[in-house]
Amino acid sequence: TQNMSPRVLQLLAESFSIKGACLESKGPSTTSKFKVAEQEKQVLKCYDMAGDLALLYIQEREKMAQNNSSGDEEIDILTENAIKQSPLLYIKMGNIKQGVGRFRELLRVVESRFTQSLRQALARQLAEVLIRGMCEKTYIPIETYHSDSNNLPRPQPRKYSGDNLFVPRELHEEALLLLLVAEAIATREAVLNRSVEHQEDRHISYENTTAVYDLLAITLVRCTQFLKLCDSFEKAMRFSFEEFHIWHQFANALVCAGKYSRALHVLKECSRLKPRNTVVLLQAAKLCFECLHLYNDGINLVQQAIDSCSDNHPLMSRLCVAMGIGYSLKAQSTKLQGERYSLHKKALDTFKRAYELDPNDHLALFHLALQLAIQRQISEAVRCVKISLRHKNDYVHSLHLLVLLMTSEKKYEEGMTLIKAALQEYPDNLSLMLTRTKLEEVLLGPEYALNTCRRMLELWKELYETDVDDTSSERKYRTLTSNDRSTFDRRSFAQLQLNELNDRDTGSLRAESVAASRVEQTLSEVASSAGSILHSRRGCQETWLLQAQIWLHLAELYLSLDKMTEAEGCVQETSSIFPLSHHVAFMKGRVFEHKHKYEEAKSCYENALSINPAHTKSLQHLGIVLHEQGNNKMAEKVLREAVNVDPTSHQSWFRLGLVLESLGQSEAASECHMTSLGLESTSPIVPFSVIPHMLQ
Amino acid sequence: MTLPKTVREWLAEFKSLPDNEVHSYASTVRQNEELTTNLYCLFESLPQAEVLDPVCHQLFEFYRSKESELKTFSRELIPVVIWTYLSALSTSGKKSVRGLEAFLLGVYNLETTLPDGKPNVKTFRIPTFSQPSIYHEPSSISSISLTESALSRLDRREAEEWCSGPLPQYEAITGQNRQAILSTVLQTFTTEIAELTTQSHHWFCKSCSRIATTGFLSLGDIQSQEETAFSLSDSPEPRRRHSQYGDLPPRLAVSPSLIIEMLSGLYYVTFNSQPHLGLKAIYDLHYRASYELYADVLLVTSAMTNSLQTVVSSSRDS
Repeated sequence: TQNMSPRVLQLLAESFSIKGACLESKGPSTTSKFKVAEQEKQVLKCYDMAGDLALLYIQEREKMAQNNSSGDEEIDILTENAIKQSPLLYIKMGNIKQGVGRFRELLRVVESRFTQSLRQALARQLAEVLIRGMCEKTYIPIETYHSDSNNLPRPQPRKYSGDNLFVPRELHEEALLLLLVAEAIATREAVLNRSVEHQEDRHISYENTTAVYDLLAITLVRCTQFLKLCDSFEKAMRFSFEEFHIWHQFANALVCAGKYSRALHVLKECSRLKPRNTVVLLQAAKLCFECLHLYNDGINLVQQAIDSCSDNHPLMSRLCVAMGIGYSLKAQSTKLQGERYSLHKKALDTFKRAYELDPNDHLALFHLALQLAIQRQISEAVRCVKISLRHKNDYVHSLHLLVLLMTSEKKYEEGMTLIKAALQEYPDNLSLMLTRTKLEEVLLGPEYALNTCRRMLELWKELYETDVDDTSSERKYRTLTSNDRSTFDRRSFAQLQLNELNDRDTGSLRAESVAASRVEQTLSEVASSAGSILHSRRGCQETWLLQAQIWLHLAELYLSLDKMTEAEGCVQETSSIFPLSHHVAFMKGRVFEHKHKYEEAKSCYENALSINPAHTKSLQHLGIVLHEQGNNKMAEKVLREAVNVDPTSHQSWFRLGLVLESLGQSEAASECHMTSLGLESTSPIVPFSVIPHMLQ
Repeated sequence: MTLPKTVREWLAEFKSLPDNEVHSYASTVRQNEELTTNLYCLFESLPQAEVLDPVCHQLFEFYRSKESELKTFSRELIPVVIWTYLSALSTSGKKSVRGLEAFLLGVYNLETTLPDGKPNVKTFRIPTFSQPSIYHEPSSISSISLTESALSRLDRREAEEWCSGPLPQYEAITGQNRQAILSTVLQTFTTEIAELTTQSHHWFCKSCSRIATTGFLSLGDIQSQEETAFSLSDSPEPRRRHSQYGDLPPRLAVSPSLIIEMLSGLYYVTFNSQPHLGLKAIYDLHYRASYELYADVLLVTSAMTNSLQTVVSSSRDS
């Protein structure tokens, strides 16, 4: 039987498939269980035979077709059906092991140009069997060399062979490999012709391809391979014109991979396809507020969603929360006093409405409390944050806010007790820890706070050094791909912490600060990698920026202890990580100011302000330095700017008062001092703005 | 509230069991359906801590026993324990859940190390298209058109290693590590889901649905308020609990990683033993993820609901 001509092979294959099909459709003649099983076995034997012969025929034909190309080398529909049916029949009979084995045998056959769609179907089906019907424990490993022994009584088509073949060893490996093969064929064979006569074909091809992409999403998300997923969806866009499902999946993959501005564009396209889909609009707005700082765009998106929703929509309350966040963020980035006031009021009203719509949502209550706190309605804020904690008793931002509210009521001891409890629940939260060092500084003195700071550095090492180790080896793709869920979660956590800490002493979320920190980050990356190519820093940038923030805080503590060399050392450490930051320039200025080197201090502060014109602390200190130098006119101008940037800072008002006094404007000066006193009485130990406006 | 009789007997019987009978006891205890039903119902009724503590203690004894059947007995209860734990935690705080917490933490810490004492590290390779495999030859499927992605496919790379672990050991569950611990514990359930009983699948679906929907009135309306895209005849009914605002219990915190773990189990269960409850749970989690805007969960739930729709529509055709 070895040298049968292709024609004979084809005929034989067809006859076997017809025989099998006849037997199958005839059904069992008796009800005897034994007989039924017997007949099923016979059907399968025919199908298996037909399949092997047909695949061999195709391989032979392809060999010949290289000389004379004649079309028509296709497997007829009955035989194709026989090939597709046989593994499924095994499984239907309850014999999963044989079914999977048959699938694998068929897939290992060297493919030809004419069997690709068959192959795609088989690969997808086996992947489905693996993902839907098995778990890691029940996975059946591949037996590689079993079928190589040509003991079977029939001619076998050629199979893939070689030394360096990838052989899956467990469930995820095999499922991913199958999906990879299916995806490659699917994106290649996709029907792109959009004319009417191809509509049916295109629909079927789209359905088949989507099925592959769905399985791919299910598998890749489990192992947090978001970049891979983005690449795949990118390829899918070619045939997904106007298909909401694929577009939305693409957007989600981009969000997970951290490609926010692209994600926003894709989400907007999704929203065009389904204008009434609230989730898409809310996702887009969240990106605008939390990642891209496009407050106006975000507000417009939420407005669009609110307009199309009725009041009893389950997302209505969250929409209002998002809207409030938008107003509040915009208010903090607005320069005009009147506009800022009306935006704050709008934000407060919107949060109140969110709370009315859904009184059980801790997030609505939390944001209401935060907004009240920002507007210094302290007792009302305390009431709201306490109710919020009743709905979610361990929400970290509510706990932090409550601590700050206690400090603004000057209940430092109670604040300390609470923050200790909060830190027991969230021992790795650096933002909480920084607040704790401030409290310790007030209650127990800077020495004590120093210890906490050192512990923060240790903690940083513990948390992120593994991360650094992980990526140090020179494997380019490793950094991007091989992280499990916990590494992924840890990295997003670092990102979150960084956002919190970065805004921490700016006291405002102005566009300038945001732009500044973005520019700084890029420039620092360039500078640090250009300076030392050999020692370019390992690990992801965020974790290093976190470390820089801790150093800066430490420097400040040393200054208050009059330990100049230590403080300088800290600033040095920071600038080696993050050389072009306004934070570094500011701290350098502080050191000079402490040494009474006002001229140098002044130029440092000016540097800081040229990077970030809205850095309140630099403005305050520049004002003081100018005042010390006797340049009161200039000092007044700078401090007025400080007051304008952040009108809630009592230090700015106090200093402005001092300067005005020296200028002889005693009436204006006393007004400033009054304002300062009034603000001071409700002022928290660190600004309320350290608490982020987040939708989760 | 007191323990049901069968549960009390179960507690007493195992304590007085001589060592040489443990093996035969282990092979029968999972078949005792009256006992397991009672245990599920017990956890569901959210009893007082003092009632639950001895039960949790014994479950942990089972879990760390050398008898694999005893271990599986405990494992089958994990989803309902997680639900009870989250629920009790949200209503009455940490003090009321000590027993449950001890069980979950114990299981977690056992999972961090292998029986031989080495840290438990899971790895597998992520295949790449450019490396030939037993199922394909890179050059034969490569695209006709010369595009960047087509070229990158030929960029020869070895399969990358995906690796998870080693996991840190913990002394206590805190707000920070809670969700990570719970998803690891649930993983012990889902990786062996095909070998667990239909009854445990049933309670698994119920627990997932409850974790997703507790404290919400009508999350399902998120979808129905859009233009009706596709309606399944057997899709879950829009739920409405007729309670007044304010009467609702607190919502349960659930992280994306925990939901994704649930979903991988639910997908199996939906196809193999609990089509209706499984589908309902997947939809519940989908709505919850839509509410929380969890992009990674939405990827999975949209993929699952979409693929299930194709299954349903194609099975209808034939």
